[in-house]
Amino acid sequence: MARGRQTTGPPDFIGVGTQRSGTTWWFATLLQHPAIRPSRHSKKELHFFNRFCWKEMRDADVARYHRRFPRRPGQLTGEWTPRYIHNFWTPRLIRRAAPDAKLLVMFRDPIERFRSGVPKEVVVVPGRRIELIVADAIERGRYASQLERLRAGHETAEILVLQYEKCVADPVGQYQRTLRFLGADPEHEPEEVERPRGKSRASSKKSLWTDMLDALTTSLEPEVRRLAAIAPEIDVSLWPNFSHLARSGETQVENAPAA
Amino acid sequence: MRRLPELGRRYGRSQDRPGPPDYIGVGAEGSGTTWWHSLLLAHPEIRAPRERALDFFGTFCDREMQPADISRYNEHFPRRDGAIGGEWTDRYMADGWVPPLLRRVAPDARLLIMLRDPIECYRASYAQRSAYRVPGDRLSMTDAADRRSYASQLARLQRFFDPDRILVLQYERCRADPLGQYRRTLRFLGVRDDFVPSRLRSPSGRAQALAVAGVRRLPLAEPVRRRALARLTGPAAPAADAAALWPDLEAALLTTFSPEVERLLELVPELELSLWPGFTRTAAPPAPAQPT
Repeated sequence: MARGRQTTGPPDFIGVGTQRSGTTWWFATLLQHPAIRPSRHSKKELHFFNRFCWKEMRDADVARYHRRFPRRPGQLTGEWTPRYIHNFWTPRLIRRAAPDAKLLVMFRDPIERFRSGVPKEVVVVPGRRIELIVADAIERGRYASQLERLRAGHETAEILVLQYEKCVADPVGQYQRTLRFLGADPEHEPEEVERPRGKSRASSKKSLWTDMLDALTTSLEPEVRRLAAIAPEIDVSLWPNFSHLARSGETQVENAPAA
Repeated sequence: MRRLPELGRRYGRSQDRPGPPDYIGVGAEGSGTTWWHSLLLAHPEIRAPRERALDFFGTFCDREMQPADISRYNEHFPRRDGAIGGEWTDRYMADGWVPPLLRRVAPDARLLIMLRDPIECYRASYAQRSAYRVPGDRLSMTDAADRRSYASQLARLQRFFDPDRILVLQYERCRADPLGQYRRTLRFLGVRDDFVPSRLRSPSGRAQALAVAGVRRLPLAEPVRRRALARLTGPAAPAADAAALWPDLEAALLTTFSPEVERLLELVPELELSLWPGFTRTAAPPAPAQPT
């Protein structure tokens, strides 16, 4: 149990992506670590930077953000808002508000993410036009563009790229990897890591017809190829909709240095 | 009642045949496409669709397009021999599920795209969307930026249509040289290129200035005024409807659009980057000569 006076300040880590990729499960698993604590009121998603597409972020806003993160000496604290990586204006603001924060991003097969994300948004925002929801859900799968944008302002070493399917297959190994990245004791064994804890939408996943699958594959395949090239820790063979890229060695070709 | 067939013959309607469109304008929103399409529709060989922008494919993000839907789409394009027909809906290029549907309904169609400086477009979207903003809306400004991923969208279209069947126009070039770009568009569509619409014959002059001044004085709602001015002069100059943004946002826009503009240059080498002032640095400088 950490002792000492509680202080507030910029978070030590911020999870920035992605929606419907097991981030609730992973955040809850991280919180089992004795040195990691959530933001005030135990909120996982603060959505703090969303509003600054409409107005400029001021120093008073930054101070307000810092007040959301109380911690005692030796504790690490943070939040995880999956849409930050999709909001193009957010990476610069994170740099300003939490320049030393480590960033976490969890990627999942983007077509599976799409199938889960569309029904979720339909429920969360009733009345929104379905075309906007679907267009947004496709864009959220453009992982390479999002990661490149993040890296434009943050060192690669400051960003941990996790893969949902790897975390499911080897939760303890990936948990320890995450702890090492955050600077927490990696020897801690969580009581429960096996079960995804977010609201599963497996039963309501959007079913896809030929044209839609064709459109999604065409839209997202170039992004998956680029992602595999810039983030070699992503194992494309674990993504059922893109495993053919791994089999054909196409991603490896892009990884290979130019002759 | 007996006069109806006669009237039909007089206006040639009995000879009209529906069919897939010969051209489809697919983008981009806020890039002067209404202006450009209205110039095209002035051409005697180009037949106007029943509606300028059909926005036909939106519904197929939620259900599969059936053969009956295709027939329904084709009915929008009746025309006589020697005339061509089409439509222009700005969303088609940005909506990811649309390109395979375009190929299904009109595999031989030619596609038209008009692109405008993405940062100018974003500023205009910001001005427009912040005026009608719904509290708590988190989607619309990501959407405004997503719609400007021109290179990704063009590359996606090229997976379904041969690049030779896609004409990419640049709004700023069309403003600077409307007649040249108009003729280029006509040649691409395969119609006579010696036709000059009246609005391009007298782009300025006292009569036009008086009409513009009159429209400005009338108590019109802003969108109506903009449309009326666009009919007289072409779309408003970018500065008229764009909002001033703040440094963090300007820099973020540049970061997010620059890779897309760089890739766009590879796909559309004739793009004049000097007309998009924010991106002039994006163009790679010539490589220094290697010492031998």
